[in-house]
Amino acid sequence: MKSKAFVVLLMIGASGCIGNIGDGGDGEGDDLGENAEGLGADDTRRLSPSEYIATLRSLFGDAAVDQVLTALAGLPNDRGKNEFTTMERGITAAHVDTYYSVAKGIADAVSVDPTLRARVHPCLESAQPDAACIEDAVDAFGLRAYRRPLQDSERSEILASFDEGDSQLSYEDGLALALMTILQSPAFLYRLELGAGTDAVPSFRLSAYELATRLAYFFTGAPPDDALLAAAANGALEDEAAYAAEVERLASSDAARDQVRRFFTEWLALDRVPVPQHSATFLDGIDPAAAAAEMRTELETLVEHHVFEAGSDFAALMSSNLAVPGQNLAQIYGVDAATTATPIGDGLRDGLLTRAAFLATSGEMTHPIQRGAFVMRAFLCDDIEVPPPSAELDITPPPYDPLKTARERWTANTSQSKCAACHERINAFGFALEKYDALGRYRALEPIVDPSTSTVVNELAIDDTVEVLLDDARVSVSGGTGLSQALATSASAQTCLARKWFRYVNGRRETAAEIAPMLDVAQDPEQAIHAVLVSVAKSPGFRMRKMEGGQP
Amino acid sequence: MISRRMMLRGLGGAALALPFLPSLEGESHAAGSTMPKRFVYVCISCGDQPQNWWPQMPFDFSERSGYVREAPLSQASGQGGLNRVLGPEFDPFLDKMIFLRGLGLIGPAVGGHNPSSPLNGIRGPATGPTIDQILAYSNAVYPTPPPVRSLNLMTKMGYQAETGLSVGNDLSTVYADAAPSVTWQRLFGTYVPEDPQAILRRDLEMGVLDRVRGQFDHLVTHPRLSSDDKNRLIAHAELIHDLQQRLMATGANCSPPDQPVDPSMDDDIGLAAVTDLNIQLLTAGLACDRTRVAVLQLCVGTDLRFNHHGLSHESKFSQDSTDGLAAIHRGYTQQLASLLAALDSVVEDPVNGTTLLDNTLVLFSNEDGVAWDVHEGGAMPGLLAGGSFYLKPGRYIDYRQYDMVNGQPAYREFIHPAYGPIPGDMLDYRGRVWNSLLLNILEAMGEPLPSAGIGDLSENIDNQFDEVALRQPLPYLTG
Repeated sequence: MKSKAFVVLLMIGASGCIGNIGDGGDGEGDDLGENAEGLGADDTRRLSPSEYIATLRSLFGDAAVDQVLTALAGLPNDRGKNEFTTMERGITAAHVDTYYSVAKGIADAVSVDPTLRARVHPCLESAQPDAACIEDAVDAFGLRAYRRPLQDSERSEILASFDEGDSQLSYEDGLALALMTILQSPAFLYRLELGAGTDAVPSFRLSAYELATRLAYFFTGAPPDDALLAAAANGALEDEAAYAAEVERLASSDAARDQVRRFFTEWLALDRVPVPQHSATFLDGIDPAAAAAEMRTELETLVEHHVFEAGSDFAALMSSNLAVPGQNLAQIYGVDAATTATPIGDGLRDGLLTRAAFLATSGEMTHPIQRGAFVMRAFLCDDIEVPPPSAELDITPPPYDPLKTARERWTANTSQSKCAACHERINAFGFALEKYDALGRYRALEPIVDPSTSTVVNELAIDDTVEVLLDDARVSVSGGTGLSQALATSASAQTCLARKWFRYVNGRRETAAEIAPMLDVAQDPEQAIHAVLVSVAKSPGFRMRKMEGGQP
Repeated sequence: MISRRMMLRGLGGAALALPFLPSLEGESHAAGSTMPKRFVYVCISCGDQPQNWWPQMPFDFSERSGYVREAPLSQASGQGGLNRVLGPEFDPFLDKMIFLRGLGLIGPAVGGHNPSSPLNGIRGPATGPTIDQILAYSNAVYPTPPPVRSLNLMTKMGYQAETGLSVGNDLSTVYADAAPSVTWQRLFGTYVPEDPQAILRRDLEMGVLDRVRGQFDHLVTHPRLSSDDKNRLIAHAELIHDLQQRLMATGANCSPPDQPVDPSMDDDIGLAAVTDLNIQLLTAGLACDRTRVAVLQLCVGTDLRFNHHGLSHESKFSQDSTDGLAAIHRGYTQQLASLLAALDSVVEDPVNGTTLLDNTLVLFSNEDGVAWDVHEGGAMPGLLAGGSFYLKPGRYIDYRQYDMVNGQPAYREFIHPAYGPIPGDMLDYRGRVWNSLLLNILEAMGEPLPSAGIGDLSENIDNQFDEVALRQPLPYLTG
């Protein structure tokens, strides 16, 4: 199948706008000077939860990390109110306590197991390694853990920890203390990007090891492997062809699939798909916990298919009629169960927004306002917010009325002047999805339930034709399929996906200058997602850093 | 449920009825020594209806000054429960409880669910810390850093759980532990037994942390770090220092319990088992002095199980729904009774019989209030238990404002910010502010009181509440 484009991503923009590598700028060494104009400012990032765990697995293997899963569960998820986990910059006692518990747990597990010790360094498998072995192991493992060669002071501290433990307790304790020193160090926990120089400049080129680290975490969410570290060491990353080859290798790896899967999970809130809390009557035999799990699995499978297997473009994803109906989801969709991406031909599921993961709500009534707001935030990058209490607005749901549909009641409830300014935009996106109930089942009529008796007292025809504001124009769409198709061809939606990816991998918002080069790419339907990923890493701006606040 | 009689049988041997609890052979604290004060907040969600929560039986009230009336709680003994939610399982604890009425949160008419509001006195988004976090960092509660500053236990992340119940002094959300095994890890994972090798190992780990802090101290001098970067790295180093102090804290002399196996959280049976484990871990954590502050959520955020949330809204229109709501709440309060029994089963001073419950101030409440529309906060459910170091228990205290008419109290109407005048016999909003109770708790734990009061006190419409009293603790809780 001919690869088609999929507008996505972006990182820092294409060539030309933000300076070129090799320019020394106005300063000496790695100072960017005025070449940093337009570059977004970066503050120092801590490893995100997924990066932290991936780094531990890379260093110690699954057998060791699986022994500290309980300790790892104490790590805050950094999601909070952030758009993405990678945006969290704070540090709390829960983080520090978990880093300690995990470091201790892994260190103790590894130190007493010859096989696990050998993974740290082959010579450590021995129960009586000599001093040369210890020093070699510290240097080699330290390089992988810190993603750069150790500084002399760092090596001395790690060896001091080992010597204290070895001399006062045992070799195993010494090894454990050395590992605990490494795993709680700022060089391990933070992605330090300080360049090669030590002069106080506000923007600079990344060092080779810092560039390797950024490439690895950007594409795979994991630390640089031995090949990438070697490329950093021998200066290969300065050669454009070699750099491009590394980028291609990383972007095509299995780990890259995991990274893209994590992005889609956070972007589309797949980790927050609610477990339906409906009555047995409403569920009609559906297992709610299993259904929620199937909803998440379906989206993950569709992402895998469209992004990596089919090389789809954005329009193809948004208008897709493919589903992955597990036993419960099949009942929701009214189709046969399947474990792979399977087309649904009844015309009711033509479009990503008709997938149950985007439609399911915890209660038995749909919530068109929440659905509409989600569509705006996720697919149009509209940061619409719930009004604060100071606005003194009544934001309670509309009262029960047996003669009115949800659309009619919500329209009346949000029509006062203070509300209309936002709800004129929000409501339509949610009303377009009203023919899918709170589980995602298709319905032509809306059952009106009397809350005092929990019985259906009426059934009303649903009007799902709306006018949505898209690309600064009013567009008439009908139903979830119509809305999905409208977003599929929307320039705003295409560029929004790009923005979201930029924010996820960079852990910050894009600047106008950074996003500008991406707009042409984003609106070109022939760009495959894979190609966009690769082209982003080739952008010169990717290899630079500008400090937050613009000065040290 | 552990009866008081079983607790009495345990006196002198410190044998504990709950098999999971750690062995406290020999007193964990010297007999006659001052026991540490603890605070535990227990909550459920979705508010309640007045007919469910307010006692319907007659009480012989006596008047105190300042519109305060009180009656002995013992009058509820043998009556089948204090109300439709607190059943006869609470009879053994009536002499250790205070039932509160007439306390409400003032502020804008904010709907929705406000899990942090009973702890910070703020309806709506948390613009102030919750008192559990104030106490967690209080020098009065912890003259020296403890192993764990506070616990936050819940059954399972739910509908609005991410909005947070516990709010830090920096206004960050303090998340609950994901599972009992995680709680055990935090409470007992760093426990160091009285063993020379273990103590030496811990001391060497302190050396490791000293070196790591040194690395942070050196790093912040780098000229290519912004001021924000440096502040965060400095904060990280300070947290490591706090960790070191807590790792050196030994707590009480006890043998920690074994690490529990987490029950499944996919069904209601599993979640009930989670609460059972949480109660046991909480009791063990307090008894072993691993922590002195805790929050225990009995239900899943804005609870959607059993149609709890749906019933709470439908109860406005339906007696059946109100009855259903009472049944759900009764299930949760039975767990509260289990907690009280567990705490009361731990004798901390065999000489005078003081129990862990006596040395723990327990507050039970709800993220929303007692009202026709359960999204209100004007009348909050409040039950105190234990805390004999501060409370004079065994009373039903009514703080509603009233005028005596023909020898009977006529409760004053309340001017609601959204609905206007509400008769006093319909909804008892006109009393005292809930925020004053929070000041009592701080006072009980020895924490200095903020002179301006606590929480949101800005919407005192028509001065329905005394402006001075707003910023003071409630009277008569201590006697």
